[in-house]
Amino acid sequence: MRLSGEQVAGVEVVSMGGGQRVFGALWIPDFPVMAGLRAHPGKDLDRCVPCAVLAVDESRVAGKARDKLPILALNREGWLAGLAPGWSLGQALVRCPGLRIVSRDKESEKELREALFQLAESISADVEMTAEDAVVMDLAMVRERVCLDRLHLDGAEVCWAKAPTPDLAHLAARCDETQGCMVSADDMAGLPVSVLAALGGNARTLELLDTWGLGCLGDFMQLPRQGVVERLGPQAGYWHDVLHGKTCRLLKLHRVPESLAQEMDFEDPVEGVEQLVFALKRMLHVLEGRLAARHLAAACLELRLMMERGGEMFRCLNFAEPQAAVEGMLGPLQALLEALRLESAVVRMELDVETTFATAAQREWFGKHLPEPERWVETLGKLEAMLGAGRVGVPLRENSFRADAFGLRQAWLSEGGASSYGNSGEMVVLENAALPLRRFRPPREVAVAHQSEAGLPQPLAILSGEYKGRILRRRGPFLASGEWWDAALAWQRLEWDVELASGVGRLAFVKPETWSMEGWYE
Amino acid sequence: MSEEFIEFRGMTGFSFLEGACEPEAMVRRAEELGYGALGVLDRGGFYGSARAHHAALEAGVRAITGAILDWEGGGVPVVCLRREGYRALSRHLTDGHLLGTRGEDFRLDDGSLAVLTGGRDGPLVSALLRGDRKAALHAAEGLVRSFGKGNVYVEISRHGLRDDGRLVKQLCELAGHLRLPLLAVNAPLHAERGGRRLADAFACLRHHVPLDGAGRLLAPNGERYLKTPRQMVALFRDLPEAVSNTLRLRDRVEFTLENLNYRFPDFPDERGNPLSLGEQATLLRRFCYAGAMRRYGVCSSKVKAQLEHELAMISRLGFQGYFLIVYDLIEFAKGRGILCQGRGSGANSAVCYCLGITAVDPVGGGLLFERFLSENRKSWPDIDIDFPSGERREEVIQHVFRKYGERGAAMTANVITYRGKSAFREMSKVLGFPVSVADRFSERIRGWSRDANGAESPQEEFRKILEGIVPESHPRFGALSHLYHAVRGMPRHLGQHSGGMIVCDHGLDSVVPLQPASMPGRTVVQWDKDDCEDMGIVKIDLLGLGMLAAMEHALEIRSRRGEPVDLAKIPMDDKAVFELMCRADTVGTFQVESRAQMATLPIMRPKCFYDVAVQVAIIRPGPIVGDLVHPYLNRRNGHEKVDYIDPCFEGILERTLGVPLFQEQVLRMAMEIADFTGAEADELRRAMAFKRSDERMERTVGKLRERMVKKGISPEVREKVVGSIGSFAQYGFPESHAISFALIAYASCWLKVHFPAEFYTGLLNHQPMGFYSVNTLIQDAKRHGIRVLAVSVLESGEQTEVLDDGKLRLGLNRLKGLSAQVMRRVIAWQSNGVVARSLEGFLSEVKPGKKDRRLLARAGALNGLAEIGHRREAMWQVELPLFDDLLNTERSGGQVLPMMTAGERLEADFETQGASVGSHPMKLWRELHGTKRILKSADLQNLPNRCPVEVAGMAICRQRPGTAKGHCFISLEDETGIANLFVPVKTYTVFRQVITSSSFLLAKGHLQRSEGDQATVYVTFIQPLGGATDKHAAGSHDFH
Repeated sequence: MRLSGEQVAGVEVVSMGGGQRVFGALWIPDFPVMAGLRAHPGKDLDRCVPCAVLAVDESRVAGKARDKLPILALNREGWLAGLAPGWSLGQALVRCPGLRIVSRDKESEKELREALFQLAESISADVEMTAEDAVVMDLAMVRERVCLDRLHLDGAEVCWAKAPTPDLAHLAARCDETQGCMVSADDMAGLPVSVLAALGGNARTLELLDTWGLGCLGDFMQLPRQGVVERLGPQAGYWHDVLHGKTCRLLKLHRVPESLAQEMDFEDPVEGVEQLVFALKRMLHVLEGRLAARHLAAACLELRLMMERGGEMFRCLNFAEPQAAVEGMLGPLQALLEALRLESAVVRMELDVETTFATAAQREWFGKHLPEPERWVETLGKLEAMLGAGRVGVPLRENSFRADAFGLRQAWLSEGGASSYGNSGEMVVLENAALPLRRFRPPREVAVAHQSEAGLPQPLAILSGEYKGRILRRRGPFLASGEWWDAALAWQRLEWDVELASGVGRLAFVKPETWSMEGWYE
Repeated sequence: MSEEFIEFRGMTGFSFLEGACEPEAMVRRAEELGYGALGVLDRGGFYGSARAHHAALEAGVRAITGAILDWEGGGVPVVCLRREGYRALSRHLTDGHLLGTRGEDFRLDDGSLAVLTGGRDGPLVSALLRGDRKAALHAAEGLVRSFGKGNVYVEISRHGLRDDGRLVKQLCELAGHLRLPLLAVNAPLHAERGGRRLADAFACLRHHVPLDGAGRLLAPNGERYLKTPRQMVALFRDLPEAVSNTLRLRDRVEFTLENLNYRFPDFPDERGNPLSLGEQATLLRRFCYAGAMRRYGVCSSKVKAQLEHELAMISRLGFQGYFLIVYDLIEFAKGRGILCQGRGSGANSAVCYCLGITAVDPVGGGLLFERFLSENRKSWPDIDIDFPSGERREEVIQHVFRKYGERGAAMTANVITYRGKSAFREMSKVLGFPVSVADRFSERIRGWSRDANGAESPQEEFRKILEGIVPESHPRFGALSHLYHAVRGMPRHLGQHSGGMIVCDHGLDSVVPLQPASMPGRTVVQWDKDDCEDMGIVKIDLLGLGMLAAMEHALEIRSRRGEPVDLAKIPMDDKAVFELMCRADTVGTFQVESRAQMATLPIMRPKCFYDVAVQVAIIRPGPIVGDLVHPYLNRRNGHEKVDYIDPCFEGILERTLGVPLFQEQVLRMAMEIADFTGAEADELRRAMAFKRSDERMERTVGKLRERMVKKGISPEVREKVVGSIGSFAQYGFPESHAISFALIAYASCWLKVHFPAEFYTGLLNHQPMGFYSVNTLIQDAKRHGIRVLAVSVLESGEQTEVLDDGKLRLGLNRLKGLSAQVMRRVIAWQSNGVVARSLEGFLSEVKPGKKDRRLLARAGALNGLAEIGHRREAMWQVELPLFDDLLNTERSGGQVLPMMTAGERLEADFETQGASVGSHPMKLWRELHGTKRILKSADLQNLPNRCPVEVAGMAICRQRPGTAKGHCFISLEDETGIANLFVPVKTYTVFRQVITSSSFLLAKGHLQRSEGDQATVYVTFIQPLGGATDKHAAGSHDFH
């Protein structure tokens, strides 16, 4: 994330430790709108027109219901047009027909939040992510001059304020009257009561304060504290104390989560498996230590190999049981690597892990699900290396009348974790063959002489393929059709058991004009 | 063609979410395929049998009745061979629904019922599919024990599945072992092969899965349709006895629904013994003449002649018991002080009038008795009685249940069918479309039915709408379109008719199965009112009318206040009442209060009671669509010459100036111009009322045209006559019905004129009802000099009360969300006699919860308590928890919170009560933002035509009726009254968003003075009223 703006030279002197505490708060107004606009820089949205973000994704509703969607946030132009969050879209469009709706972009919001945090971190080491759109910094230990006036982020305005307590700074940053100031408790009296929402707590209490007709925080501050606590509870008492500057809480310092991902660039491209395994083993040893320090285990490993000629190979290895030891993780990976046929040498290797608790996968009271899960995963790895990704699993009949329809359940999932096939009320159809059927996969297309009876074809002789000959007897047709509701997927099929001089087989006709031998009764 | 095969297992849409065609469609298809008979057996009852029977009679096919009975291991189809069997099965089905009796408990082996062993969901085949042949044998033996050996048929079917052969083989072996006959069936779920798609969709709805996830819950193929007898013979060529047994079983069937043997109960004497027909006739005559003396004072020869004519007819038709029973019901209601009035065609009868069933004098009014009863009519007379809605009506209904017993009376059903929106919503859900697609469709379909009257067919219109939502290239476009059309009109579930009751003298449960209604203490039959009528079952409609409840309450208050009023004796020529109507001051009254009625009243200027009846009848969709309103008003006001369409109609249409406004007139016209007999006229009436299909109407109109052509009637007259009938087919309104409604309308106006305090109190206590919000009613009351006092815990009762002729006190029930227990405790606290009432005492005795405390304080209901100065003071005090300590909590603390401003009080009132007794929001707005340019509604009365105006107000009604070609009508209320706006379609299109989303509007345009000197603003520009807040707005009656 690129940071811009002056971050060092300044004009203000911050008081040092030992004297009065000073906290600074940064706040991005209209955060969802700003994030949404950042996601579409200069494309089809003109920042100078009123824009709004809705509380619900508008693509999920239509018609009249869309008009009732409440507005979550507005940009400055939206505010200037007289709109406010909470208005329904219909109302807002009546007031401001040119209002543009910006879709909410969670990813962009995350980026903007990170940018705000980094901006704060560049000023003070002690930063609290107070809200999704605000941070509070402890400025007591900052020995440099800091000019908060000149801070800004790309595509978003940053408001700030300083105060002797974190909460006062946080509140003050959100109001035009106190923005960019060092405020004291006395300065808070003119702010609107609604700003208290930034301190969290019960929304109902705020509604109640609204019905009490309190015009500003000064009115609230003048209420007798005991009376307020008796009526509204300790939360309101806390607000009272905050506004009077009587309380100064500790900041909940924000720490960036650590990643367990590792990467290794090879000076010389690696062609042999041994070298790869050796490098991998080193990475796993590091991983083992990190996992042990966090009392975690690996649920799955993600291995990515970058090739010399471009291209990459990615494999995700799921463990049947959580693994924390190098031995448990290396075996399946080694089996995988040994079976690999790579087109060129490897120049870079990345290893990431999805963690879980070490006991998370024990599904039985007194033992593990598999006696030797490592071997099971290793075997599966070998099979997959031979057959290809996604071609190893437990075959299950699909919930369909379509002939020979089956799917694969992932082999490392337990029974309970598998998708449930079949329904309790499903129609039962018995296979009616006493003889075992050797199925041809794929079915063998044949030419068939046939005649039409009551609109259905009746086969007379098979004219091509391995099982040619006149049909002596036949049973059927057995009719099946399905997915009629989708023009692209609809199918219709007729089947017969046909007796030829050479034996009995299963013949199928699929509309519009395909005959095939499906199998042979042994 | 000799018959080869009979299908015994037809299932219809009345096997809810299983069968995929209507009974009529199945029967029609059977007729086309040459079936002589068809079994229609629905699951758990005879739901579709009545309709199948009716369709079969018309098609010349014999409908075989039966039902699929729940049995251990699955359902078994049971066929009724004789009436005793039908009755026993009906009773058993009732037991199943009411008592949970199981099928295995049923035993009737005398040959009046035959049973089939069932299909894949039956006990035999499901056991065989499990490979449990022993269980299959056991199930078959169980059926033999219950129904007798000669009455059990082993059902076999072939649907083109791989295991058909093995199952049939096993079933044949089982049949051979037990020496039971085989019976071939195809068990069709739909009439045509294509019906499989809807059957699959129903399967999905039944199992709550989309088609993509339904898998093997769906049919494997489309073979469950009604096949031709020849196909079935070919299919079972190897088992000819299975086919021939269908004919043998058909020959055993003696019963059809024609032999239902329903009998209306005979009226009993004082000891409860039923009277003979002769005795009942004598009793009826006695009651009639006694009533005639009460009604007319002197029984004139004209009255006597009419009574004799009617009594003779009633005796000939054997309906005396029916009239006596309805009379008994009316007497019960009157004995309990329950206001009631008959309406509908019953009001054409002098007997009904003399018995007190109706309040309209048909002799004086010259009404047509034959519209009510004639020898040509096959069905029973139909008397609808209005009772006050709510508990009083329930009292009467429960009286009927008590009198005829749980199994002797029941409500008629109401078959809820798939309509446009529900059809699209369910089918799009099944096909996996997102909910937003259905939302968009619902949005666009509004007004579609009325537009469909244009040149395009509904299918084309639907296609256009759908193309705007789902692209035609979508792979499921075709399926959605097909399923939508297929499911429309199909039964969805069984509801309960609002008031239709049927009674029987020998156990209604043996006539039609009963099942519990959703309301406790009620049972409902499996047929709807039309089915009951088709089956000759007499229905009495006990309907609930909110206005009657309000009027009853008003009269009760009046009599409590020492001046009882008898509505039957009020003068029907009260000048003040007609003046009220002429100035359209009818807010809150019955039938004449709508915006359209109020716009017409000053033009119509009713001068007598019959004018009120015309007024009630004329502002209806039928006359409006038929373009009858303007001709009538023009002729009435002398702007147009009276035209009787044809000279022969002069006598019929004289009273309505040549415009056919009433159903009776249309029937008489048909009798006159096309020589329709009484029976044919009755058929026309039924076709007009029969909402289920247009087919009957088309047939009857065809006959009418044919006769007119034969009589040499000119094409112009023919078209006018057919046009008049077409309008009524959609919204028929009989004259007697109009007169009955006009009586209530007149009475409500009379109450408003003479006892406004009682009138408004009655209305406020029976909300929701009518056209206007409580706030509008309160504003109207204030304009009529009534002072409405706010809710107070010290003074208010549970309901709104009259304090004196000019003062009301709103009741505690006006507070939204105040619990009933708290209300009761407040009333008890009021009556405990404590003089100094403190908040502390109130809270400790009444113990309202936190929500109730806040509500009472915010609404100002605590303001009268000793230490409470204003609402905010109360709001501060009630937040302090009640500790119930020995020492009282100190609550006084001076003025902590500021007093509410007028605007805040208004906001609090609307939030807590939806209405305010304070200033009108527009008055407050005018004080802050008003200019002389923006007029009040009262100012419009003094301005000339075409004068440019600007008017502002609170929207209380927005209407865009289907008959208005897209134009919109808005009523804007302010502190002086209501201003009417007309927004032409082009303006509406531009300002739609403003009109639909803003509670306060500022409209610009010019004044239009229409006939009747009504001032309407023709709007050219409209915008939200700046400075007004929606928090000060009452509810609006929009787009109903």
